[in-house]
Amino acid sequence: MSNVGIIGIGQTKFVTRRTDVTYPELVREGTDAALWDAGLSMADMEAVIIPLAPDALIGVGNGERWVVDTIGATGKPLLRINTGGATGGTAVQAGYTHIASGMFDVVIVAGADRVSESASAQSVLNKMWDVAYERRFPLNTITMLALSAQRYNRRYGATETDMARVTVKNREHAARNPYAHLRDPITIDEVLDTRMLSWPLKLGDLCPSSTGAASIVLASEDFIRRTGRNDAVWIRGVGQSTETFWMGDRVGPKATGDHADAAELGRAIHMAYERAGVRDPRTQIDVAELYAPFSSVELHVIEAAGLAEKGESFGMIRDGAFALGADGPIVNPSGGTLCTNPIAVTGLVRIAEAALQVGGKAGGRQVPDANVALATAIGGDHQFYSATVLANHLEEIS
Amino acid sequence: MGQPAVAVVGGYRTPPRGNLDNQQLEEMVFETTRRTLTDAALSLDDIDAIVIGVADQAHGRVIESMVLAGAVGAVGRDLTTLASGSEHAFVYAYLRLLSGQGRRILAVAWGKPSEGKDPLHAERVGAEPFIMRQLGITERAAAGLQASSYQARHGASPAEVEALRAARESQAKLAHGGEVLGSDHSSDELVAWPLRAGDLPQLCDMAAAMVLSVEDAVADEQVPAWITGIGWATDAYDLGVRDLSRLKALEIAARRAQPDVALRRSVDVVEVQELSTVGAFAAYEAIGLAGLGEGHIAALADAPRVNPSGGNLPLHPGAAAGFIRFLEAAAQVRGRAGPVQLTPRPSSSLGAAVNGFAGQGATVVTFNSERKAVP
Repeated sequence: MSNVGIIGIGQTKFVTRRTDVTYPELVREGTDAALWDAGLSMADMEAVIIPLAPDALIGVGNGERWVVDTIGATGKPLLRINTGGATGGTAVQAGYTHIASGMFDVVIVAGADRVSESASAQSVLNKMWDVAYERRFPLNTITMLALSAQRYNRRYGATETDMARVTVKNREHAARNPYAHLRDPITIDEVLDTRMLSWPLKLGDLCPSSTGAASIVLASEDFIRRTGRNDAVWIRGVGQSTETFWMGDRVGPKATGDHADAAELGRAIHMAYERAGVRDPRTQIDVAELYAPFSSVELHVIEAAGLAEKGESFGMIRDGAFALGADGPIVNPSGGTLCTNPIAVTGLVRIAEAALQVGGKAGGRQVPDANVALATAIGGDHQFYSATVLANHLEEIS
Repeated sequence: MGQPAVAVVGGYRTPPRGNLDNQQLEEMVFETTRRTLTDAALSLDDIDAIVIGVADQAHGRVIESMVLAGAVGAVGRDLTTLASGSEHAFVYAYLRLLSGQGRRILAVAWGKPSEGKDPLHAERVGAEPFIMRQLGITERAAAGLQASSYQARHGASPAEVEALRAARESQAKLAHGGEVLGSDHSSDELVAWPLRAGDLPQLCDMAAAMVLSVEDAVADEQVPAWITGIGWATDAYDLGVRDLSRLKALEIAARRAQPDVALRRSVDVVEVQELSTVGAFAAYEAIGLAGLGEGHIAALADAPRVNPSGGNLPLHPGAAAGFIRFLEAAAQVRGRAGPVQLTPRPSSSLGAAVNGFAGQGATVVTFNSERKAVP
């Protein structure tokens, strides 16, 4: 099996709305940037993988077919991934799989999202639930995670102020990231003063609906050596797992996993750790780009990644951990999903940002001496999980 | 170390139903998963990952994989969802095994058009909103453009078209033990010139699954269909820049799966997804079974080597149609094709699938009863 490296990364600035480009043109912006970064053209790409989550968000069914002409993919092998919010992470893993299979040497994962294209992203996402049972609850992405936050806070003693502290940290990080959507710093009091949406989640605890593009070029070790590249970032381990769809099965004596935690994400992460040779994430992971669309989610995701024990993360954040400048792993130096959420490519951006960090190309948000990184993604109703470990070397991770 | 050989070692498809109103989609998929594992003599614990092909709009769901994850046994497991054509679930399962990510993978696909209130509406939103949606492009409209282009260039006769439709229908009746479903199969109603209702795929509900296994995990009691070639490709989206009389993506995919056209022509059995009766001739040429413009002449002499199952014209489970072509092609090699099993049992087969307007995307897989290197 070939080692697989990332050799090109492209992102646009993420904003609320773009009216100057169509969806394919937006994807093209991301592919142009990634190909420029790789020093290659679309003609060099042997296959294309398109991450595209709910079609309804862009208002066109199977939009992956629409982009073919615009990005120059005619005639190429093309697959589309859709694992909800995890799509971008899964798509990069699909790119990895193409190359690791030995069938391809260089491929591009090319995507974008226009979440604002739908009149209401929430009205689209509200229809994810089964029509006969849980949709009537009523569940939506906010109430679903409010239930998780309530359960986490009750079980471990976290507070709304602890949640607000996550937003404050990530906004400070996003202020250093020129691609991030929400870049204005915010205080704890300001977060606490925002409108309550579903207790304990307030507007300040939530991600925005973002529009923008991101692409990644991946290549085989053979291609990378042959073309004399010395700045590739290597994918060292991948993992995926799936939680039950049913909220009712995440509580009570027969629960498959507690809704307070992210057990299946933990399984995916530890699968990636095992494949990468990560045994002690607290000392071996330098930076983590963890998919957490709400402040409360980041708390249990940090714990699922083994960067804190269960119920420990919010206390560590209170003490300054995980923020740029702190000792130990830095979490979401890009500002994370909490500041930028273009659903189809959010997971891809996590991997792109993690790769920029270990590649030493993260600019003002660079974590010093970052060599090993973790990137995760979450999709469905906190259901589909992917995890990817990256490093700037192929030696044993120490 | 080289890539492992990969085989289909288990498979199942539900009987076709016109409107499966006594089972939810989840129940249909669960039954398919369970029976596929039984056919492979495996349990879910033997499966390392699951790959599914979805069609959210067709089934009226936002992310249908969410509710169906449990039905395919994915809770607590590695699940990937492909969304441009169910046949891509097969492709990705194969790639995962080649890349060393597991030893056995379950691939599942389904089409339950009756689940959606208006399948035509789902087709309409598949067109971009600026030009093609304004023009009224749907899958059936695009099939009409493709057929008219083929007819203008090569001129299949009404008798040839009717003979192909009748051949597919009689095979489908044989395969499924009775009448072919769908009220339109003999209708003369003009839908998209020159295609009448009876020339287009007749919608039905069906689900299917296969277990793919690397060679060292194939058990003695399993009958494998070894994958000997695979290729997939996409053509341009814009119908105006394509020569619609040809299925270029299918041509490319077929070449990638098996570069030698003589070997493609000599395969024992072919299961090919057809866009329409006339489109079947173009598909026949694209795979390389006939020369350009000769598909309508050669195709009829080739029954039942092509689409012994009847194919997807009489029974079209929407998004699952392509995946089921692979299942039927593998089943012939495995000797599991039921009433339409060819004798002697074929040693080689080819499955071809298309997706998108006028076959924008295509995938081809070749199978053999003997383990052979992928070209």
